[in-house]
Amino acid sequence: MSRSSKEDSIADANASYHILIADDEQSIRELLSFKLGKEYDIATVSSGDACLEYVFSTDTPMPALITLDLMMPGINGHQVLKELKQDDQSKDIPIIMVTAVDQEQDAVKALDLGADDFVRKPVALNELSARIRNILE
Amino acid sequence: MQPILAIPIRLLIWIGLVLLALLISTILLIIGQTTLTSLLAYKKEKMRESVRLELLRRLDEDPSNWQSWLTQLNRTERSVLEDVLISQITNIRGEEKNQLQTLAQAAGIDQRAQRLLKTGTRREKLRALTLLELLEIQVPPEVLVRQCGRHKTTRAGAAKLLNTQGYPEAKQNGMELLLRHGEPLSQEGMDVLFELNKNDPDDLLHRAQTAHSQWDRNLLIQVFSVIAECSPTNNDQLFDWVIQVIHDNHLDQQETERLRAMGLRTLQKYGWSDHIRSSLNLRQALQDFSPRVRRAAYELVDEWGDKEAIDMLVSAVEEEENDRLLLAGARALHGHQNDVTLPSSSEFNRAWDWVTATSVRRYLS
Repeated sequence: MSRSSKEDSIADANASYHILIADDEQSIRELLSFKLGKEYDIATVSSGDACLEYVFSTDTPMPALITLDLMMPGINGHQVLKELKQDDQSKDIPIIMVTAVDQEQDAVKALDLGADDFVRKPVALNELSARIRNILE
Repeated sequence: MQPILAIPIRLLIWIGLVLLALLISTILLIIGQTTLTSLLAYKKEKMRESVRLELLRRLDEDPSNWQSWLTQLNRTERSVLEDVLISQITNIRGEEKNQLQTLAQAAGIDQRAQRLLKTGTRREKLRALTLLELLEIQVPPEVLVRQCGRHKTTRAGAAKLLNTQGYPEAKQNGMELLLRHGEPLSQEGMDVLFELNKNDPDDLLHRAQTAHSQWDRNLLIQVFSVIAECSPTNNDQLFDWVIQVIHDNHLDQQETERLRAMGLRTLQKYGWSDHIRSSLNLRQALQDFSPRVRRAAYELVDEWGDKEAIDMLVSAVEEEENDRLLLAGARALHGHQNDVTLPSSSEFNRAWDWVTATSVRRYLS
């Protein structure tokens, strides 16, 4: 199998996975959508409140995975994570936290609260993509 | 009488009319400028989506294909492209970042930045420094020193760029940029000075030793605060001048209290140095008229923790009349309570009980 056809087949297999990107920075949402959109079905929200609303809404599909920015206006990433992990409906959704470089304690706290993994900003898109693959496949 | 009064009234009317005309012109000018700016912002915002989509689509293409697209862009679209590229480069690393940097160079953003650095206003130079840092464009240190030396904010930006580019002489050139005018630093300037010296403050201590007498006092306080945060040096003799500054100013009134207090903070990590401990007149610092300096001295003793210093602290706290400083004294003594006989006054006991209670609460939480 050639490289491109193999990539195509991976993309086809993953297209059913619906991923939610929660980040208040527009350029991050754009880049992650661009990168992950090649393999998955993507939705984006720009705040913690919107993330919870999206997950608990009956009008939107339940995400297979969420990338969750830690520092967001209103409800921050930790609070969102806590709420998601406390609810039976959403507790099994894998969550990858996106944290700033100097937020080691926050990353540890997120893992304690049930996050499945974390990546640091500035984000290496290939690294994030590989982590998502590891969790979903 | 009447003609004499008539002239000034007419004159006043004319002056009033001129002022009114000026006011109306200014208002019209402001409205015009604001409208233009809003229109441009609206136009850019509308363009952003198409430029962004096109940019992302072309990320996977061979860089040689970008040029045909870039040549089609008008001035506003190029400006939007620059904004989009910069916000994206800031947020990612790795392969895609390299691609975006290559695209930015193909769009001539690096050359524009170098032009702005040479001939731009202060604001444009700051923008240029940000662009050059994000695009990781090497700029020779002598160019940065020459083109960014006029204002403290551009000096700080240039020193930061030097540091991120990892030139071997970045530390010396960066410090030269930041300190040569002897003026207080911007917040970024302080951050950069710390970054340049955090692992080894010897060069900064040397430079300050010879130049501090010509510096603005606020710069010296800033340098002290940077030194206090740096890793300690083995060369404890480099602090002789700091101690001299503390001693020379001890009789001054409030103007130098921040200087003395910050000077004492630079010594906190040097309890191991017999030379520093024997050179500093600690008793004098503990009895300073300024509460700010006494607090710094109490904290210094807490860090040093040697018996002689603790005994001096106990004596100082026994005479302390300031309630807040009694708390600071109790806090400083708290970690050393087994080594000393604590003061017995009721004021001190109240402070001690409070410190004990808050320590327990902090421990339990």
